[in-house]
Formats: sequence, C-alpha cells, structure tokens
Amino acid sequence: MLSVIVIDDHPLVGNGIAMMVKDVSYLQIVSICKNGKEGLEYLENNKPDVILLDISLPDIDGLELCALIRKQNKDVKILGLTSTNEAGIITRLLANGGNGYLLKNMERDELLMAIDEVMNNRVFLSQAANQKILEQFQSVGDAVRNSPLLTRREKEILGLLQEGHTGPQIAEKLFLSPYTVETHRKNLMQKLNANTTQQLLNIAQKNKLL
Amino acid sequence: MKNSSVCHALLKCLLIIILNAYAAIGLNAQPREQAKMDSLFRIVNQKNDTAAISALLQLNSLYFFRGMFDSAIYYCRKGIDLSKKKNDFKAANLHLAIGKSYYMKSINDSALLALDESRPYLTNADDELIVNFNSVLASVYLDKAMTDSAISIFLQSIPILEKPENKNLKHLLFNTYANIGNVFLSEIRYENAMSYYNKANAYREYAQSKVHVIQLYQKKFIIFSNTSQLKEAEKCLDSSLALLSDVNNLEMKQTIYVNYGFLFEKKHEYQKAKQWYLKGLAITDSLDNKFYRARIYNNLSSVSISLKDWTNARLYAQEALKSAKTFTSYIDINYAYGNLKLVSSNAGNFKEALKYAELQFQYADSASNSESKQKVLELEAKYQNIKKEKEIADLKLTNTKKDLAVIKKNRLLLVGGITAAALLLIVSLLYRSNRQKRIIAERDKSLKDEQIKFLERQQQVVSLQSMINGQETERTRIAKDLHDGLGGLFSTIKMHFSTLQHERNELKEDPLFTKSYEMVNTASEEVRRIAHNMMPEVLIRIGLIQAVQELCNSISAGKLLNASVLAYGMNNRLNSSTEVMLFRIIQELLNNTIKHAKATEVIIQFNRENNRLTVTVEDNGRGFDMADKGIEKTAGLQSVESRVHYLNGKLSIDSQKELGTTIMMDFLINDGNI
Repeated sequence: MLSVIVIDDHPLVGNGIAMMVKDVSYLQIVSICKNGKEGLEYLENNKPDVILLDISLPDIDGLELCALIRKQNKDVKILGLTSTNEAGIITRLLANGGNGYLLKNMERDELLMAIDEVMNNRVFLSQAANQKILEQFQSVGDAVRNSPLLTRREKEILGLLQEGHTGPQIAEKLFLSPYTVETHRKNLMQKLNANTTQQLLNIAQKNKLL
Repeated sequence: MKNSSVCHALLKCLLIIILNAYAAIGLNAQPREQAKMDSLFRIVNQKNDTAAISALLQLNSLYFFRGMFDSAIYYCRKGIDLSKKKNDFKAANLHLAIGKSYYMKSINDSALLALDESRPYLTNADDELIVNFNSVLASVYLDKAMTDSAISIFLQSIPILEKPENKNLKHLLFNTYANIGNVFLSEIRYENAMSYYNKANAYREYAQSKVHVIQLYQKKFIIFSNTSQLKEAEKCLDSSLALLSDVNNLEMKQTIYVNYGFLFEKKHEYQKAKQWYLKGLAITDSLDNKFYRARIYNNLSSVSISLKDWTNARLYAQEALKSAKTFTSYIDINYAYGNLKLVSSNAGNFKEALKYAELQFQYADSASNSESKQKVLELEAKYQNIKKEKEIADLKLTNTKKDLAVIKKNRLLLVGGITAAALLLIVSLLYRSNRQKRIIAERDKSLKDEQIKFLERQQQVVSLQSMINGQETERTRIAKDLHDGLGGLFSTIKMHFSTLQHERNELKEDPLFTKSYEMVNTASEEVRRIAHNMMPEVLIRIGLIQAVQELCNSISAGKLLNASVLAYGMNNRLNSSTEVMLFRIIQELLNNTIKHAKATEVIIQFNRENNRLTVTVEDNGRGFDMADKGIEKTAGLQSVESRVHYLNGKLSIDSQKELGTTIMMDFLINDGNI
C-alpha cells in the first residue's frame, strides 16, 4: 500500500485526485494539505511514499518547498504538480530534488504512471513538459554548436580591429556612435574573456572567429 | 510884477503862520512858570506811574510850546516807558505828542513812525484824540506836499466832530475847517479855501483863541486881496484889528499892520500904506524878524517910488537888501535891486541902473529859479510822492504778486517737485518691480518650465511606472487567477472526465463524451497559454534569462526564425520589475522581428559587468532606412524607447538595409533599484 499526500491550496484539485485514485487498491491518499505549512507539519510526523506538490502555494514557493522536503527526507518521491509547463520551472523542480512533473490537467493513467515511474526510481515528466524540455535542449544544442556565437556587428568590429582601426574610426566607418562601438568591443572582450584588445584578437584568431 | 511878488511874499509868510498857529491848535495855553515845571518833576519822581505819566505829558506840552522839541520828545519817551508797564491809555497821547514834535522838527518820517506807533491805541481812544491824531497826520502829509491826503484826513474828522454828542468839541470843528481852508489856500484854490473858511467862520465863537479867528480873517484877506475884492479884504482887516485888543499878540498885530499897508498900496493910497508899513516895521524890529523886515523894507521902497520919494526909496531898498542878504532871500534881493534900479534910472544914473538891472535879473533868475525850483521841488515832491505812492502801491502789488507768484511757483515747484519725485519714484519702482517681476517671471518661467519638464518626465515615469507596474501586477494577478482558479477548475473537470471514462468504459465509444473531454482539455490548455502569455511563471520564479530562453525556444520551435540567447555575467537575478520590463522590451523587439524583419536569425545577448548591463538584439532581417524616422513608430519601437528611458537606459538602433538590425540597450544597474 502506497501512502500519497497532496499539497495543493485548490480543494477541488485534491478532491479530484482522490476521486481518480479511489478504486486503486495499492494507493491511499492519506492527506490533502492546503498550504506549505500544513504539508511540512504533516511530514514531521508521517513518512508518506509519494508527495503530489503544487508548485504555486499561497504561503511558500513550491520549488523552495521541494528543496526543503528533499533536505529532510531523501526517500520520499516528489511529483511536481502545476498548471504551467515551462521548461525553466520543470528543470528547476528537478534540480531541487523533484522526481517528476505532472500538469494538473493530467489524465488518470498519467498520474498512475507517474507514481509507478517515480516509485521505480525513475524521473517522470508529463508529455507536455517533456516536449518543452526537449525544445530547450534543442535550442541549447544549437547554441553550443555555433558557440561562441558572435553577432554580426561584433564580427565586423572584430575584423576592423584586426585591420588596426581605432574605435572612433570604426564608428565612422560603420555609421555608429563611438560609444556603441566601445560597448560592442567591451561585450566582445567579456564574451571571449579578454582583458585587452590584443588579447581579444588573439583569442578570436585561435577560435577561428576571424 | 511887484504886486504879485509882494502878494507871494505875504502868502509865503502867512503859510508859515498858519502852520505855527496850527501847532498850537488843540493845546491849551500853558503857564510858563518854573514853579509849575518843578511841581511836575516832583510828581514824576514819585512812584505813582499814572500820575507820573500825566506829569510827563504836561512837561512835554510845556517844552513843546517853548519850541524845545527834543526835550518834549524825551519826556514823551519816558512816559511811554512807564505806560508800557501800566498799559496806560495815555500811550496814544504820548506817541501823538512825539509825532507832533517830530513834525515841528520837520522830521516827517519819524513823525509818521510815531503816529503809526500811536495807531494801535486809537481803537479805544476818544473822538478828541482821534481828531488830534488826524490833524497831526494831515499836517505831516501837507508838509510832504501830499495835499489830497491831508485834505482827506482832515475831512475824516468832520463827521466825528459833527456828532451831536461832541458838542464840546466845536473848537476842533473850527480848527479843522480852518485847516482844510489852509490846505486849499496853499494850493491857491481860493474858492474851495474860502468855502471852508466860511464854514470855520460859522464856529468862530468856539475857537479856543482869538488869535485863531484873527488868522482866519488874515487868510480870507489874502484871498480877497488876490482876487481884487479890496472892500471885503479891508473888512477882514478891520475885524482882525477889532479882535487884536483882546489878544495882545505882537506877531498878529505886525501881520495886520503889514497887510493894511499892502491893502492901501493896492488902493494906490501910498501915504497910508507907508504909515501901516512903518507901524508894522516897528513891531518887526522889536521881534527881530529878518524875513519881515526885508519884505517890509522892500514894500516901503516900492511905496516911496510910487510917492517919487527917491531918497527913501533908495534907503529902504538898501535896508531890504541888507536884511535879505542875511538870510539869502533871493526874492527879496531881487525886489531890492529892482527898486534900486528904478531909483537909479530915475536919478539919471543909467550906468548904476544897468548894474542893478543886471543884478536884479541875476537874482530874479535865482529867485524865480529858487521859487520855481521850490515850486518844481514841491511839484516834484508831489509828483515823487504820487510816483512813490504809486511805486509803493505797484511794488506792493508786484511784491504781493511776486510773493503770490513765488508762493505759487514754490507751491508749483514743490508740487511739481513732489509730483516729479513721486513720478520718478513710481516709475523707478514700477521699472524695478517690473524688471524684478520680469526677472522673477523669467526665473519663474524657466523654473516652471524645468518643473514642468521635470513633472512631465516624472509624470511620464510615474504614469509609465504605474502603468507598467499596474499592468504587470494586473497581468500577474490575472495569470495567477487563470492558473489557480480557472486552470484548477478545468483540471478538476478533466480529472472528473478521466475518472468517469475509467469507471464507465462504454463512454470511450460515446462521441459526445469524447468530444466534451477534448474540449475541456483544449480549454484547460488555452487557459494555461493565456496565463503564460499574461505573465510567464518562469520569469517570476526563475528569472529573466530563463524566461527569454523559453520565449526563444517557443519562437525557434516554429522553425522560421532561430532565436538564440547569449548571457554573460547574468548569474544574479535583477530586480523583478526590471526583469519584467526587460522581458517586455525583448518580447516587443522579437515581435517586431517576426512581423517586419523577415529574418531567419535573431540573437538576444546579455552582457553584464559589475553594474553595467548591455542587452543586444540583432537580426539578419531586411533592415530599414535609419533616416526614415517613421519606421520607429510603425515598428512599434516607441514603447521600447519609453521603457528603455524608464530604466534610464540608452537605446541605440543601428539598421543596415538587407543586412539586419542591431538594437543595443545600455543600462546602469543599481542593486536593489533595478
């Protein structure tokens, strides 16, 4: 028998989940907590197997609460429960010790699957959330592929610096204000971790950016 | 000529007598006893001021009649000093007495001064004193040849004296009428003189002295004799002679005798004339009157000539010449030489006659000169007086005018000056206040302009801030409501459908049920989408970079535009409202890129070093002409610009046609604020 608690300020959600799993013999919703404080108090005396945690609570940030619970209990399986499927939130949840992630508009089977997965020490991500994570990694992958990515203006300025032009000369050539050119140059030096223009040009050469 | 000259001589002589006689008018004949004076001095030395004043006045009177006018004046002065202490009414009398004395000394100006001093005391004085005052004043005027004034002064006394209550002053009425006659006589206005003499004659019984009546007769005689009314003239002399026994006045007697001689000479009764002249000459010798002697000798000489008594004529003439020369009477010398010339020519001594004639002419010249000179002098004096009076009047008028003018001028000047000063002051004040006002206004204006600008900017900022904050707060609230409320509700509905489907397997085949299930799912996802667009939860919970990354992820997912995020030095989160603001800016810029740029690549780059943050958004789109300012507006860059300004940032738009657009934003990060 798996003991499950729901920490969600929305009473309908808790009741809905309870209703969905009422005929599942190996599951028992042992408590529905209205806020983070209630949840923490319950966890002081009880050790449920699974926590369905809403990350938007009135008294405490669910992501913070996740990290807090994980600190106290290494074994409890934490499934994030949100209405938003933003990759940043999901990754943060997992980083904070979450075992999986469910969207609130889940289906009964998805919920049971998620509990099964986490209980088998696997990470579960709801399908929608999963796609978001993939999108991000795609984008990050592209970024890594092109890195270190320079903007067009940065490339132009770097080329002109290589040719030996000064800031103001470049500004005149590119019809920019010297200040803008200087900002671009500073950004370049920050991006390529250079302290001087010569260093910047060396690094650029090394990385075949020129 | 001889007759007329004699006539003149008499007139002259009589004129003096008139004045002398006048001086006696109003004064009682005083006893000249030394005893009387001694008693008066005793009274003066006693400490009774009132009595002393009376005594001094009497002493003045005594000295006056002795012709010792200085002493008379001296006692008057003493009296005045005393009267000042007592404020005695006798002050008027004393001043009047001084005036009279000065008049006698012919110091007319001092006389007038004394009279002026007495004037204030006259208001309460009795009528007698006023009449006496008028008499003295008129006499002074007469002496100054101001006959008209003299007459008018005398005439002022007439109504006073004719008042019924002044019956006791009838003697003064006589005197006044007589004096008016005298004045007219001096002016040779016989008719006027005679009419007043006749008026005086009516009161002759009231005259204080018979001498005055005799004098009156003498005046009338002069008029009658000069108008050839010899019978009337003789009557006058007869009446005078009748009164002479009562008075025993030698001068009067002498005058009457001489005038008899003159009358008889006129009647060509030379022997009788000679008799009367000789009678007169006897008295004259006793009185030692040189003037009369010369005149009488001349008259005797001319009578002798008429009698062809050449020896006596020569003798009398030489006597006359001798007497005349002692007091240089040119007229008498002239007459004497005239007589001598007649005598010499009669004797056949023409050489001598010629000499006398020459001398006569010489002295005639002098005489007529002196006479005419005197006339002229009199006339001149009169003229000068009138002129002077006129001048004085004119001067007074001019002075008054001048004073008025001066006052007016002064007032005008003062008023003008004050007005000018006031005007100047007002103008300068106005100018100053105006200038100050203008300066203040300008300062105010510039200050206000600055204030307005500041307020506008602040308002802009505040309104933008409140708008943005309100907007973002509202968005956050709506997003939260959508997530928790509607989202939760939809989620629960979907859970119910899910449970229902599980419990009743047959519902899987029910298209209505499956359709409803799908729609609930779609609605739930729609709510999530809307809520996310409203306010990405990641932006609030995780941070700007994650939010921008996710934004770029979803854009890139579309496969048309590859949006990538580069972040350097962005490990620490920024102020939440700044993050929201920056997120909105980037959202807007990406929107622009998607809508207009037709770009395939867009880079969002964050560079933070210390408190300096640069955000660069660069696409490889078609770009736009920088000169076309309209692009900014159509490109919806305006909201970007205002948000950048709100964050005190610097916006740099750099677009190259067909190459792309680089937008760079520079911010100074104040920890906590931004």
